[in-house]
Amino acid sequence: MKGSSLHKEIEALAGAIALGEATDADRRAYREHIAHCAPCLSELGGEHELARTSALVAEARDGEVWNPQLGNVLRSRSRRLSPVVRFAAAFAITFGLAAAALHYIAAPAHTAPATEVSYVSLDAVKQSAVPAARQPQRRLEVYHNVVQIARAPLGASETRAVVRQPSAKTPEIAAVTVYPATAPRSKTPASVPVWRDPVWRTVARMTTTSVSETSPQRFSSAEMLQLRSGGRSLTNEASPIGGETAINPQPPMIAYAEGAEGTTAFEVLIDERGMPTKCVITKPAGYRFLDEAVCKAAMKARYTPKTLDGRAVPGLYRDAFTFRVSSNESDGLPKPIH
Amino acid sequence: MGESVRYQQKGTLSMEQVYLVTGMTAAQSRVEALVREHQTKLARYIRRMVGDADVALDITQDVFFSAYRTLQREPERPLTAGWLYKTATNTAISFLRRKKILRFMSLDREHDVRALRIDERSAASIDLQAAMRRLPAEQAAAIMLTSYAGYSSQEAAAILGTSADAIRQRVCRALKTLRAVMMESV
Repeated sequence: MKGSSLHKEIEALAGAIALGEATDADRRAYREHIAHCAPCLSELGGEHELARTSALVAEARDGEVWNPQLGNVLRSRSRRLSPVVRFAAAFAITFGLAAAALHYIAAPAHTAPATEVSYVSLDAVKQSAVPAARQPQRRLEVYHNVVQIARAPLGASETRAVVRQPSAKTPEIAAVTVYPATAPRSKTPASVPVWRDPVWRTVARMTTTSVSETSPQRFSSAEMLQLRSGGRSLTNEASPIGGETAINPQPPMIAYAEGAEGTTAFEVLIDERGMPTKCVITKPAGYRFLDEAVCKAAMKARYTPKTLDGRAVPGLYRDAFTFRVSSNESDGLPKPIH
Repeated sequence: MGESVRYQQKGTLSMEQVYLVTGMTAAQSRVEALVREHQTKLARYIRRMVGDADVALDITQDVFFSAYRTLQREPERPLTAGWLYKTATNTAISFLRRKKILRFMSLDREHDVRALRIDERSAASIDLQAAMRRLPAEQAAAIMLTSYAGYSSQEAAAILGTSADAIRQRVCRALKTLRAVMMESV
């Protein structure tokens, strides 16, 4: 009982907001309610949503061009049929036509009256010849944030291994650092918040003995594997199967209606079988449904596990998505990657 | 010369003189002023409510005629736009109730589009008309009186005979339907 009366109050608040009659206190109360009441948020929508829907009515009103002139109301009234009579006539005509159509369908041997058919088809042509002018629909674009991701290079062809020359004092230690082949080029506009900016990323750092003829047998097994594969590092971070586009967040409809924008960064824990076990939002987008959509998609994907020395080990996959609303195709933004 | 002019004036104005004698001119001129001022807005409002231009014209005529009869009966009664909208809403709602029997035949959007002129077929206009067709009459009246005709929820409540909160609630529910219609057209 209390719940239903509360719901009525919330609906009244939403109506007041839509009509522009709400006070600041009303707006705050509404915001606080929908912040923790997911059904209300999806059913009624946020404040933007209410204002936008309400503006649609005003837009339709402003677009009206029908300008009827009644003439002399007091004299011409008697000549017009009353709505009731007109309704009855319309009813009779409609059912008459329906009966005629039924008769025509039921008895195909009969030839249909030519006039009736041509009238219907003419009407259909008139209707189809005038397509309704539709406005372009708003789209919600998802940018896969390649730049902001601290991502390990996936293939050895993209990387060049630089073996630092060991200094004279510590000849046994070499650090293998893998640089990205090209410095990350900013593909997204500068307005996107950069939450992490890796210039380079150390993928593997291993201790090894000096590469000398006298002690060739002191290579570790990892080093042997690395040498056999032509200097290629066998340590790979976890990555989704099917490439970056395997993670495909599907925001709920409210995101489109509300015009939700933001960048979500997340980390997924990948176990050694390649199954995602946990999703952590490291930077929320500001809208919980965007974060939830991203995590849901990330948990749905399958991954190649992190490999260390050729062995699969639990690992971490980091990624980010940027959501932004665009009203039309040619607004200067880059094409979404998928 | 002056005599004949005065005579001609008398001849042309004889009907008005009759109205003067019987006290009708006040009512008639007031109704004509109302018609001039409100006919377009009122007819558009009714057309949105009933979804048919011909029916809307008829109802508009009826509204003004009943205003005329009311003024004949009570010449001192102040007839405002609110009274016109109230009568129009009641007539439209009773028309919609009668028409409900036929509603099942016309649930497609194409039928809604035919209620509009060709140059009015914008997305907003079509969506609004499609939503109006699905709304219960009370919600339709609430949203049309507030968002469309521009009354505040207090004024709309006075017109429909409920409270302002009830109007806001109906507006909210009507917007819910409208939003659903908008989503379908995406």
